[in-house]
Amino acid sequence: MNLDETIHAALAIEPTPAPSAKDLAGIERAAGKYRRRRIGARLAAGLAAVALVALAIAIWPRPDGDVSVRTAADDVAATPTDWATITDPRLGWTMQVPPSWSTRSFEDQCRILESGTIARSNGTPPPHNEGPSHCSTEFDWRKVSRESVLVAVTNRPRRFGRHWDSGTTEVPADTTFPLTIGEVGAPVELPTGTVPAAEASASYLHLWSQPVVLDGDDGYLVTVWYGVDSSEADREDAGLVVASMRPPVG
Amino acid sequence: MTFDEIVEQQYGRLVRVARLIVFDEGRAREIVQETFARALVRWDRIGNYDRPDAWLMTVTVRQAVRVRDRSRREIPSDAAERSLTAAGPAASVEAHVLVQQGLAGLSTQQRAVVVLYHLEDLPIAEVADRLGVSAGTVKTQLSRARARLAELLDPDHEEVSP
Repeated sequence: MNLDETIHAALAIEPTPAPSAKDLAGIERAAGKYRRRRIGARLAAGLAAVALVALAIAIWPRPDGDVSVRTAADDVAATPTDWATITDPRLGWTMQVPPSWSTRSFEDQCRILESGTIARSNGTPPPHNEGPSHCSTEFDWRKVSRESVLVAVTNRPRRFGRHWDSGTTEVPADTTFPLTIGEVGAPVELPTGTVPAAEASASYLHLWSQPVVLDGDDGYLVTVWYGVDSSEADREDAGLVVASMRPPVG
Repeated sequence: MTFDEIVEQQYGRLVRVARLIVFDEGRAREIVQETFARALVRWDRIGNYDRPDAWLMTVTVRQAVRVRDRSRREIPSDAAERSLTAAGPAASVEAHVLVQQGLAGLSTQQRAVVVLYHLEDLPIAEVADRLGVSAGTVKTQLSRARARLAELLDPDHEEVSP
């Protein structure tokens, strides 16, 4: 018996218990708690959004010279408690993602030194395209499925002369958090030509891409992609991921 | 497939995998119950997946790794044997005990890689998907884990990468 067979046989001895009545009751109980957490999280997200809007209105600059205050980076994120907090190692942004999502961070991509983190609902986030110069800031959409939902935050350093993608509108400094998907409107199809394969371009809706500018200096881009066959639940989760995003403190 | 059917079909398999990662029968059952609870709440969607069992395995394994890492406790050398039960041919039981000891000495993620690759017979790419890491990471973790297990099972064994 070789090593593979020995390890398999040793592990396969482990019993596989049939679910007992107690186990089934445990599932029902946990489902009840999970439903309440989800409802609570959504309520909290709604309340937080209302509170932040009220706060933003209250502290917005007045003609008489009052100073505006950006929302603190450590605002409480209204996501379920079992979501993981991911910190982008280069940018310092944080986001919270569901346990079944995967994330990938990348640093100093190409000449514009793009860094960031991308999260995907159903599998490994796509790599960047490898073009003739082996360098691209576009993701390889052939590596993701039509059911996927993705969220990304990247830097867009202005010192390299890069402008925001066409179709997006620059927002003023002192961006207010949490960011919300709802303010952007209906999905638009990912523009042809930004992905290598026609099939891939037809598979994605590029819902939301918003520049985020902090203190008029550092620029970032938050983007959400919905696969055409993605579920409502995953899209809702994407909204919570976006709402949980916070820029680096300081 | 109905929710009851998939519980009946997958519960034991998931508990076994979770138990081998967290080394605790009670916690393993809690993790699997939580996984099924999430699936139940969204069963109208997850039930239509091509592979709802893959979704269940992904959530279970990641939660088990998270729970195990969060506890930040070293497992006493005999705890693995106490928390796990073996029944089978004597040689397999002996190997089982050695493998349990070997698993207890691995990192949580290495343990998860070994369980998914050797027990669940998943290819490297799927193990990577379940854990949310790259295939290269899985290969590295697996190679190190196998080298340690090989030492325990056969001190004269020369490890060959998968």
